[in-house]
Amino acid sequence: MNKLSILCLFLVSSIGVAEAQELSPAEASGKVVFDKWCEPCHGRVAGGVFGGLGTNALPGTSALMVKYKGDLPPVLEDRIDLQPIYISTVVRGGLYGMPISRKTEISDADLQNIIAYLNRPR
Amino acid sequence: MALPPNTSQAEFNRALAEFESVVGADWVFSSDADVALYRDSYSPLWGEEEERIASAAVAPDSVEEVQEIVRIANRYKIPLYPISTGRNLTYGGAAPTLTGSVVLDLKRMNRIIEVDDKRNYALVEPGVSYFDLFKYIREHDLQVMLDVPDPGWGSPMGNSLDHGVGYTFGPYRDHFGSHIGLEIVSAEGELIRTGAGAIPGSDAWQDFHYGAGPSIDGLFAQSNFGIVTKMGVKLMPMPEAFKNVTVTVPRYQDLQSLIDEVNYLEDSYLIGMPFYNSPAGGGLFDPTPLGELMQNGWPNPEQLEAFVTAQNKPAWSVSFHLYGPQEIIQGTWTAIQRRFSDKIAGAAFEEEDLHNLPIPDDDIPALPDKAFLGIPNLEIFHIVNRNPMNDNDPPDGHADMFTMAPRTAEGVHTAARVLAEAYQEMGFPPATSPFSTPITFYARAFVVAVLIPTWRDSAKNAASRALYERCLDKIAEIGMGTYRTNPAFQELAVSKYSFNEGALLKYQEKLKDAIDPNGIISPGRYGIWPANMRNNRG
Repeated sequence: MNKLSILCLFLVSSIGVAEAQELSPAEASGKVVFDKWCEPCHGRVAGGVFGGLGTNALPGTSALMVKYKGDLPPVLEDRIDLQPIYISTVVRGGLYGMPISRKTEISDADLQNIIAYLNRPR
Repeated sequence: MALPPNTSQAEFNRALAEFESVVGADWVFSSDADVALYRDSYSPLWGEEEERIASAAVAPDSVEEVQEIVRIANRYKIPLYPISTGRNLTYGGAAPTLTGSVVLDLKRMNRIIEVDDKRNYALVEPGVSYFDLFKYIREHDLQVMLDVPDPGWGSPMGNSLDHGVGYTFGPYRDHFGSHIGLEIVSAEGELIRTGAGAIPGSDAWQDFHYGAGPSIDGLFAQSNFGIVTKMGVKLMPMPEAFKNVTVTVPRYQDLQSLIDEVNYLEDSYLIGMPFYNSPAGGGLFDPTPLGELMQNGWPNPEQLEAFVTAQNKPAWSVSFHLYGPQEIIQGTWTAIQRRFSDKIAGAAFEEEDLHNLPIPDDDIPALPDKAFLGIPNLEIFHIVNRNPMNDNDPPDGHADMFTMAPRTAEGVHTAARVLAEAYQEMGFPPATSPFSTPITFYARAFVVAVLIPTWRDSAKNAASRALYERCLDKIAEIGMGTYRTNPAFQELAVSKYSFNEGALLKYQEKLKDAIDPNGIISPGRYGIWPANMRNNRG
């Protein structure tokens, strides 16, 4: 392994450690659950379907762009105002096209971790 | 809380206690708040007395637990409604067909038992999602391609058992058609394996699906004859590359010739899913205002040709992926262009770059049309989510009305016209036009689709239901039906398959009575009622 490879490996490892240290265990678990259940609709990068529909944003993100018209960030991970009761109400009750999530999918503990992640200190 | 039919609260409590003894108290859900999680998020009956509501849910972790639960349900004569991932949105979600049923939530049974990229199959449990299976294939560097439906959180097993569909090569797009081998818990709790899986010690369960004697696999799709606990999935070997190409034809009358040639290519297994569109008609999701043309009713052929000419765009297009080694793709594409040019004057061709497969992980998020490469995603929700056109009143769900039409231009036009008439008769602007194009989810049939919104508002839902039912009635009058629908419409949908005074449903119900004498598996699903509940029909 040459010096450059070692340096790159060190940097990558350091970045990984640094990112992990920024999140508490609950927040880190919450991010894993968020990435599985929420990100495919509420994440940042979209590819679009059927010749251009939705190329600008994923469906949940796009819907919030239309809803908030720039008053609030459309990407949920950028929000700092999401109250725990609101998050749990939407996850358990659904909202518009977003369906209900059952406890066999997102357990109560998972839900608390999502709440911790979305309310992480920034 | 709803109770199972003909069951007292005391009896139900005893049954719940027995369920708890099998799966543990954490996995029996009977509080109002927990049972509400088993509502159909997109129910066209939301909040009404007729909404299908569970009495409880029980979530086993193993086949043995499923068998025990079935035996308990038989003793108490309590109906069970099995779900896999419970994400069968539009078609009922996690909610039962019959109010008071106990939902048998199989989400915890989420083991990927095997994926073989030499014999090209997977063996999975019900709770595995397409996302899970894709992740597993990637993490293990397996060289197979999935065929996925639109939402990736669904279950390969559940989707197949509801006759779900996808977007790649014809044989793989029909998900039940590409299953191979089932494990079933019968309505009496007995464990059955089909195909070669019935031979003790067989290593060919996912290679040979017939076995000897009658195949019974079809009984377990869109039905209520047993609970499937394992299923084999045929997988396509990962192609070396793909290329997206488009053929356009200039005239309105060219559609039949275009279809004839695409059918030849599709049925010869030369192309992936054909995706029809109408550039002159405005595209699939951006319909040109046809109001002026349509003011005096359905236009005649001359008016339609004149309209196309005025748009200065091709009347029709079809795009499809070519998959395989680069040399095969280029050769196939050359032959396709020759064939179309020979048959249709003015046929024109567009091609995108050839891409190697598999797609690198980092390139997946921004990749368009992921489903055409078997990559699970949720981007289809754009179709129904809040957007600039519905910003004031976005729907809460949708009930998809899929008309199964013959693979002809006349079939497409007739279905589109009849659906437009249904919309007009019910006071809605038409959602189909002379430029409506078929969807080719099934390689051997056309789908003409309309998406009818559903709401958490009973007045709006009543109008949507009336429209849906009108569409079903009207397409049946021209000899067409649908392939899959919400429990609210299942009885009406199957009633249209009424040849010889409904001989098919009568036969299915004879089987039901023999196989499930206590009527405990999903009573009423797709119109099949057990003898002791047959008066529930209608």
